[in-house]
Amino acid sequence: MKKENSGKFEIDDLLKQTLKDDLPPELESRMKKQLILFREKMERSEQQRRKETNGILWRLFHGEGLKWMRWMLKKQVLAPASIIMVVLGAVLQITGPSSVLAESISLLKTSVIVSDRVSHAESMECSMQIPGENEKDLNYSIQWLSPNLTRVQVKNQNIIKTIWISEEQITIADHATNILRKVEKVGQIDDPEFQHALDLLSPHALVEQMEGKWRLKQYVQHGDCESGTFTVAIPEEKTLLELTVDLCTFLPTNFKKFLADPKKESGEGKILMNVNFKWNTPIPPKLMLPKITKGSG
Amino acid sequence: MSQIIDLKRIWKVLSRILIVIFFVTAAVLSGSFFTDLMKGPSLVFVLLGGVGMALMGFSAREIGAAFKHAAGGPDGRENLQSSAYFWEAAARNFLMLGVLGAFISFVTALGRSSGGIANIALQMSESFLPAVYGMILGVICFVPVLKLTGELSKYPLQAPSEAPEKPGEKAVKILRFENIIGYALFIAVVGWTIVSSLSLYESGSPLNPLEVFIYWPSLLVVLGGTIVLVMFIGDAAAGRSFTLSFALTGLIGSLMAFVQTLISFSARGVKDVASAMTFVISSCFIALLGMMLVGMPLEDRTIKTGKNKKQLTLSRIAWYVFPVVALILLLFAFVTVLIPVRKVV
Repeated sequence: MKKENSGKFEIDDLLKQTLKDDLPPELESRMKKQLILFREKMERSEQQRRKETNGILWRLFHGEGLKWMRWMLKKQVLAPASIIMVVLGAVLQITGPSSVLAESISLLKTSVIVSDRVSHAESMECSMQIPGENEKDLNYSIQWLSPNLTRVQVKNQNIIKTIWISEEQITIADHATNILRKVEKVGQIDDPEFQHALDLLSPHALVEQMEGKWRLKQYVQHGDCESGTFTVAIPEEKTLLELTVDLCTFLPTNFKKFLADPKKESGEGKILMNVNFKWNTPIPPKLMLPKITKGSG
Repeated sequence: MSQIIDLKRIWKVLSRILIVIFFVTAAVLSGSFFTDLMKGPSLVFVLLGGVGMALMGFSAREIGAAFKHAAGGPDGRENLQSSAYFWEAAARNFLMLGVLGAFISFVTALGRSSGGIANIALQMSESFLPAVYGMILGVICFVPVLKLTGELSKYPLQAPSEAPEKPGEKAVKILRFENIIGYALFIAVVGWTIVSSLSLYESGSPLNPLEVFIYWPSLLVVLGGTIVLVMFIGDAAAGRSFTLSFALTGLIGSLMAFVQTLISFSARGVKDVASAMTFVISSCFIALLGMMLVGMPLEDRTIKTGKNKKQLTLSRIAWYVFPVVALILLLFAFVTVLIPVRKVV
């Protein structure tokens, strides 16, 4: 016999001598009862704890009313259903459903392209109308011969004025009074008639408006490569603007300004401004030669 | 003697706190460079989300022990290993939360489309800040991992034993009270972030979050693909198959849509580019959310038993590679939206 095993037997003998199995039967049965009660109590508290944490989940997945859920989780149902989901998703993507996010991306991307095309425009000619009271509409003709060379003429029943803007100077001519004057900066133009045209004086001025002040609201595309219409809000002026863009060239063809109606998303109120654009068409150079001789510098 | 050791330890901790305070003060005083990088709500999102995710996968006792071990408290090899795993999971959670936060901010900036082009571009750039916070917090959580791994090397290696499932092991898989609190906190943080940011829509009524964030084609493809893969891999209760399946379907879906975007660039119009990019963004978002809400908490709860430790390599690839790829694709979406190219040809 090994030494360590002999030690074990000694302990066994000692235990047998001290803890003799000689309890009276009544005491033994009472002790057994107490042990059973203790064990039951422990098990109950464990079950109670589990029930507290998993009660809701247990009821959800084992309730009688949700047999269909267990049926749905069977492999025979789940496998074809998931394959159908994948195929349906692919088909939906190909057919191109509309989503808010896709429309936003489309709106932003188109406006970025339009802004880029405008900033790279070589020449532009546009007519602008500002409705006035008593049929005194102001009619503007704006030409960009190059990004730094602009001519604006404003006409109505009583006024004919022209402004020439180049890198060196700004010349203003009043044809009714035959007065010619010069200013150095655009900010010095104080004629009220020209204030409406300040945003269209150069590609840079228009792009600055588009990128900084215009708040994009909506974009609707008409046809594949025909036109698209942006609805833009200008919070500072409390106006709405509808900008129509040629989707082949990504250049604006028309824009209309309305008074913003808080109840309406798109502008259908009183027109404040109507502008029609023609891009990159040759403009006769004679338009840039002022013929007035009288006036002050 | 023990008093001297305690004083030494207190001094060590205090000096570390002082260094952190010094760095934070220097960052605040350095002017606009760091203030541009500070965005309170994003930081709160990453921090609270991280707490929620820790509670989803671990018990309060395990979290407490991990903090104790990180502070230098001695314990057995098994416990140190569990704590090292907790810190690794925390680092992973912060990284993924940062990327998820970036996606939420990006989609919100695009969906709201408030302000001019310049303003939207600025909001889109700022949407990458949560990813930066996630990475920083992830690195901070990775420090205890390195420390505990070093501690572990001092203990003798035990032969891996194929122990039968212990009686208490099943209980680990059962949801504890703190796990449920974790799920509630995570859902509340993500839900509140989405709803509150969309309700800031300047003009008009608030946008519906479901319309902005749920793109049905990508939802169907990612969920359907995940279910197929989970059935194929099996052992769904362990969570590993969910993590891998979400990562794989998200990756495949987004890469397919990425190719579709490139094709649309060269052959189609802006509308198709927008549709494909929506698929890319939405696939990544749904896959990330699925991994964080279903896969990883299940995995965390089962992995501690030691049963899955050997299979961690694949999970780790999914944890770290997918968020990085998703972030690169988000960057691609940012560039695509803001570069004025209508057709390459």
